[in-house]
Amino acid sequence: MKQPATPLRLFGRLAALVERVNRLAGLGAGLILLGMVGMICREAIGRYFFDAPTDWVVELSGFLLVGIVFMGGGYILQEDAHLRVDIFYTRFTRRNRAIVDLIGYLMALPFLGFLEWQSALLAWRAFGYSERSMIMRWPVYLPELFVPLGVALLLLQMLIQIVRAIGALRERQGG
Amino acid sequence: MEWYTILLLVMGALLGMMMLGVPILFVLGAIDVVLVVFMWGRPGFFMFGSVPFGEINNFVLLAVPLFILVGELVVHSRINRDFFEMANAWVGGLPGGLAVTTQFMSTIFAAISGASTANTVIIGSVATEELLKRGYDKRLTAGCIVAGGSLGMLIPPSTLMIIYGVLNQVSIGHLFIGGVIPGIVISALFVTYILWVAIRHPERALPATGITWSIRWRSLWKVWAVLLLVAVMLGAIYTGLATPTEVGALGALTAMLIAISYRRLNWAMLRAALLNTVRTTGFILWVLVAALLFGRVLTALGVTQALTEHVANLPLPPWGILLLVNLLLLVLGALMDPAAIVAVTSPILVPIMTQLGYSPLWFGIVFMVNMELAFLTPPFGLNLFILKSIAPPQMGMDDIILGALPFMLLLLLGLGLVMVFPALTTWLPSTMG
Amino acid sequence: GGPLPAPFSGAQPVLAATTLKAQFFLPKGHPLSKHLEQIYADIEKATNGEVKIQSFYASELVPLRQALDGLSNGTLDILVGPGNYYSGKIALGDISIMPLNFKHYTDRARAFYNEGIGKILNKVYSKHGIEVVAPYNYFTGEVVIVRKGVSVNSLADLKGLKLRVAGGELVQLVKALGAEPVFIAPPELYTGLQRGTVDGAIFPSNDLVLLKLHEVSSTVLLPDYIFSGPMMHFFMFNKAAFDGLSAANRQAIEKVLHQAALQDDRNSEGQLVAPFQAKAEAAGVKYVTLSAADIAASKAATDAARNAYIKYNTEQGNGAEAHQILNILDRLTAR
Ligand code: NA
Ligand code: NA
Repeated sequence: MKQPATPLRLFGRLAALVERVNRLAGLGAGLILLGMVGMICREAIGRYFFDAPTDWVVELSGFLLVGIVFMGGGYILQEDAHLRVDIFYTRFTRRNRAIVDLIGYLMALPFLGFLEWQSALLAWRAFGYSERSMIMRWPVYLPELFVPLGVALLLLQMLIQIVRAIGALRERQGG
Repeated sequence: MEWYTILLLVMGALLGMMMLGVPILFVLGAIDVVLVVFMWGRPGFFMFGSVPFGEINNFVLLAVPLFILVGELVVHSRINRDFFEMANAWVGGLPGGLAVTTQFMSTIFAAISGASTANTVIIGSVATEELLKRGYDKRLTAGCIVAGGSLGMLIPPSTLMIIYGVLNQVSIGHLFIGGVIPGIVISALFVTYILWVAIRHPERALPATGITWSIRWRSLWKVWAVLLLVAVMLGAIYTGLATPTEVGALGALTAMLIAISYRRLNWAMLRAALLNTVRTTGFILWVLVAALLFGRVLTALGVTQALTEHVANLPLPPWGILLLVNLLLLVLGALMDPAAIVAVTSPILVPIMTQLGYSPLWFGIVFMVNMELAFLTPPFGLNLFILKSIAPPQMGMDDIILGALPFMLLLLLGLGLVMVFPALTTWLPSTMG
Repeated sequence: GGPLPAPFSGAQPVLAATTLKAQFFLPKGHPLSKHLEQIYADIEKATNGEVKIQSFYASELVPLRQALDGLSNGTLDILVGPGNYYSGKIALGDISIMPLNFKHYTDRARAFYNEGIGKILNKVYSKHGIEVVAPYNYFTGEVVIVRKGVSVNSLADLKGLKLRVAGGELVQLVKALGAEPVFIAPPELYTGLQRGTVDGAIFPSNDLVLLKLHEVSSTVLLPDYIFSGPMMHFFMFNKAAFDGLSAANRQAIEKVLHQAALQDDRNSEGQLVAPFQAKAEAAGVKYVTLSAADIAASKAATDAARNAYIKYNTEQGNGAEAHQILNILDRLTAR
């Protein structure tokens, strides 16, 4: 028998899905890094010992770094790994911490919104003009898409944290 | 509104929110939005699209994840542990021998790891237990580890120097080379202090006993891993096999091969190393994006230029302003993370220093030595927290802070030396053009 | 673009003045930046202070590769730089740095103004909301520099060498010469040459000394026009911002820039090539000119680069314009 879909249960399922996707994105970023180690070693060793430099490693690894940084954004938030000063924060009650968290999320939302909007626009224009990269003449919109994708993952994770922080506030009020 | 009103409001909001515990990225991001929307207007919106991709798509920044990964692999494959055993077998029997060993190890691993935090983990995860076990004083142990760890960002490679170089257009190669002599000088100050303590208070730093020559000889083979790693990384740069950016990848590959040869490489270990690297790289470079936006917006609004002129025209000699700036950095260093301090303040401070006639390269090293202190100064001292998290429970936060105190004074002395003798910083870079 | 909000326009705001944000890619202290600063001052003077220029250096406002987009958007009002940085969007601009673009320094202003290259460029740039108002000609050509320990005297000596290039058509040139193109970041070039990570680079001849590469180089290979003749950068304006100026101010700006182009055509060789060459030679760098036979033989390699130019532009729908431009360049070079 299926459980009735209460809002709480729905949220729980959605949250689990988003967190899973973000963990996968974080691991994906790690695997890209591993690939990058291989690529750069190939470039250095090939160039030095075999006089066989590549034309693709420098350009591709710059693009992939964008992927590593931005695809990991949601995962970092999930792990609460964004840099913060926690002199007072760690001494706050759970409720006060939830308030500070909420303030932070509200401060971040417009910023992430601008990032999402403008970086998507950048990729959209590059797509429209068929913009090509300098060396390999690859379509530039593809790596540019890492930014709006990563910011979207971070935004989704943040929405979940916001709901949770509000839950933490109400929990205390109720009890 | 005048530029200084804006600056004061911005700085006030920054500090207030950050002190409450709001992540630095969110605070900086919110300020970016406020400045662009209310001060610059529609033409500034594009900055949010151009900066993230345009700045992170930068080959030089690849060094950040690569060098962090090297540090992670060193810890996860326990290369650090083997090195410590060797060093201890040879010098552990001298007065203060184990503590000197720890210092020596900090300096060597600083040449492999990109960050002070990574270096503290590399050193602390081995040395804390060993020193306490052999009856070393808790405070001396703690101070020696957190201070040695802080060398990680002064002796190249250095993630913080990369951030400083990218933000302020200073040659990263020159910064790296510029940190070598100050790093060695400060390391020597630490060792001198340890020897002095060991001789005056032998009970705080007992020599290790029971080391036989057979243990010494047998320990030697263990050191091949570290020697190989150092040889590959420095050798690759020296012979031209790799550029300073690429060498991080060769280091990571070598560390993985070493782990394979020890049969210590498995998926769980690799996965942990990769995920830790993604986390650390991510938060540093996300903050860098927000900080670059901040710096570019302040430049567009003319705030940076106005501030530079005003500070340069203060009725103070240049060295007076330099001292004030260092005081400011010390205060910020007690409260904030060094990466955030470099990101937020260096785009404002470097033009001022340049205007006063100081070289941005030299100021970069002064900045770095000052930031080494930031890793130690409470209430927000990253190395203190890291050591607390890996040390046995009998080592309290008070022991760690009090233990770090003499080393903070030594770092202040080092900072003074770097400021009074610029040649310590500029001589090596000048030989490379 | 448009004017800055009043509080930021300086201590004594001049009424009816328009402030334009201008970005250049080189740092503030660079001789080419100082020269540019003088041109900006001339513009302010010629417009009676009605047009003020707020100058930014080292791409400190919009990141280098995004600056053309920033100009289209109005984040920047003026962008000074080479067209080839934005080749992925408008490959027509690659004539800024390209094999056999200009043989003589004075060909540049002639090509832009008298032969109509300016008009051809603007047909394409205007689609992006950009007007190329004038060429910026205070530049040298590009030469091949080779590290110490490697010696080159002829085209054949280049075979198998690892040459650092930035991208674009020079990649095809290097391949056609039998060398290996290598891509390393500019800050890593000095140590790259010193340690032998690369054997050489294609580089502006004055920057050779400004970036101290002469300390680690043995030879400079001439003539420059085989690799890239004297560079022609552009004064690119946001079209709306430019059209928003009064007709008198537009003409004043065009006139200042036209005169600057003519003057730079006359002076840049003497001021930017000779003194730096003297410095490099004093440091032991050899300047070698290819033999007439080698210059003739380089034709095949420069053709490869020019075919790439046609190809890139055809992909962007501007093949006809690319052909027109190359025809003009050939006519000038044949003189
Ligand atoms: Na280091
Ligand atoms: Na601190």
